[in-house]
Amino acid sequence: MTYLWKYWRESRITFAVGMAMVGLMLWAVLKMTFGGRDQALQTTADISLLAGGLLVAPFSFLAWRFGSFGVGRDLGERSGSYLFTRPRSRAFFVWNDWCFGMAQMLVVVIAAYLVLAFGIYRATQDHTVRIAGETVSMYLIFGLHIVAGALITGLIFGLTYLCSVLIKSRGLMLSVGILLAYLIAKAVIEYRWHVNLPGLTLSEFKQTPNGPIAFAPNLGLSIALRSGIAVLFPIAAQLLLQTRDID
Amino acid sequence: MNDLTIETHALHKHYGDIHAVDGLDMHVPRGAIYGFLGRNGAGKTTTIRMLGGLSHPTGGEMRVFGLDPQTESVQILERTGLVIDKMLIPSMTGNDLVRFNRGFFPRWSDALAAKYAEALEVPMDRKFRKLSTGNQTKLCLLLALAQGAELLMLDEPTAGMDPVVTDQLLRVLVEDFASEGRTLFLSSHHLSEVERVAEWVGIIDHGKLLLEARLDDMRNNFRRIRVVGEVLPLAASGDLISATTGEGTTEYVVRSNADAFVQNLRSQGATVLDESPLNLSEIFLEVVGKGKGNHDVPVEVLA
Repeated sequence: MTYLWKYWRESRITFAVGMAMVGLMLWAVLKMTFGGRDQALQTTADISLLAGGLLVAPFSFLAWRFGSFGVGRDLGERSGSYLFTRPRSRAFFVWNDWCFGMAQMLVVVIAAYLVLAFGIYRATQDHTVRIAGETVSMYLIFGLHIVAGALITGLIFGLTYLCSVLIKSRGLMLSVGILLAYLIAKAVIEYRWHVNLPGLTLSEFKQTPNGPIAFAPNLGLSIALRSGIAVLFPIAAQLLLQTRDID
Repeated sequence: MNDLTIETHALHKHYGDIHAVDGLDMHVPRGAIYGFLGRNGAGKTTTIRMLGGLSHPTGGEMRVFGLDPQTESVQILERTGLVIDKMLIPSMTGNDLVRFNRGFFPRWSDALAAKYAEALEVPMDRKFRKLSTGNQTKLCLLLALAQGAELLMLDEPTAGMDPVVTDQLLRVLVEDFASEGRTLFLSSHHLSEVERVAEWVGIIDHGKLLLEARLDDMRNNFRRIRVVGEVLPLAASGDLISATTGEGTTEYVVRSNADAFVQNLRSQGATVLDESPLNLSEIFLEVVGKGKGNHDVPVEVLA
């Protein structure tokens, strides 16, 4: 538990800032959509999608900051020798960082969507959503939003964590560079060769030709693959720490 | 193996073309105070880092408590206090660090931490990054001492400390720690400090252990012999470390068998003016090849 306490000391301000950012964002969304009952958006699904999309930005920022805590920060502050002479394996430090960081971010993600769901329900008194002509429970939609939020935070958190272990304090910049490079490469490939690469965020829904939205195809497979990729980063960080010298 | 806390055999650590540790054979007896001496860059810190499991050797073997630091570092670290870089978590105060350490060591003692904090006058409510270099070092040592370790490995523990604190610290290390039969391994190039406390000495240079012996044996065996006249051909003995000629006399430094060496000189008609022991500083300079008349004669392990 003492190690988690150390991680909490490092991350608590970012956690509080993240919660505040999400709260502010939700307030803005709910204010905009339900400023007056007569101004409500046409469907609950629209509101849900709008908020889901907007929340990706604060979640990503939060995950990026969280990725720099723990072992990477200690290496950057030259206290790695001290940390790694505590009697625990390198895996212990990596997985404690990862699990506790993810847990904090999940708290933010889940809290954000619960508040959003509650706001929508309060305004519409309806806990169903129309998806491709079908009535779907709002719980399913928000469950998917939470999964999507967890996946994007997991991806960015893991990548930044690995970069921080790799090149210490410059890891934050490297991770941004990698993400931007991927987005640019994706855009170029799509424009030039009309090949669609997966986006950074999970697309839970797609527009159907006749208007209403539908669940994206192969959603389960996409979630499984993205989860696998997110977990590869801490595994890589652990292997890196186990094989390299601590300076 | 049982009576050794640390043992290395043909230990190597290479960084490209640089051989930081180059075939190190070292034996640290259980319960000893072992001074690991060497110039800057001799390979002391690299050796300690490998023993602490922080870096991987390029070749050779090493054992701490009979365990391999590469695969059993957790078990070793539970029983070992290490002070290497003297850098703790900068944003934590001394009290935070005590709390942090407590959870890792089953034999941790808050009472010892409080005792040493008071004795060494460490401000425990100040963040590590805001402490002076001396206080940072003291805090590192305090935490290592409060672990209840069986082995303490300290890399240049007195660097940055004033003489009063150095004295205080050496007293704590000898009287509190080592007196209870625990092993103290300290690297240093402050020879007078090591001479004051160490029972065993290992001298490393260019990654090789040039000499390993009990300090008393070194003092008893190393001799400077002053002779009238030039260097005699018979003086090329395995015990000879250096021979210096000047102002009508020749000074020989031998690492052992001084009496036999003197007999040999006399049998050749030499007039021996005097024979004197060397202190650790003089022995160190002779062994690492910086003595007055050193001719790079290889020096072997005495023990």
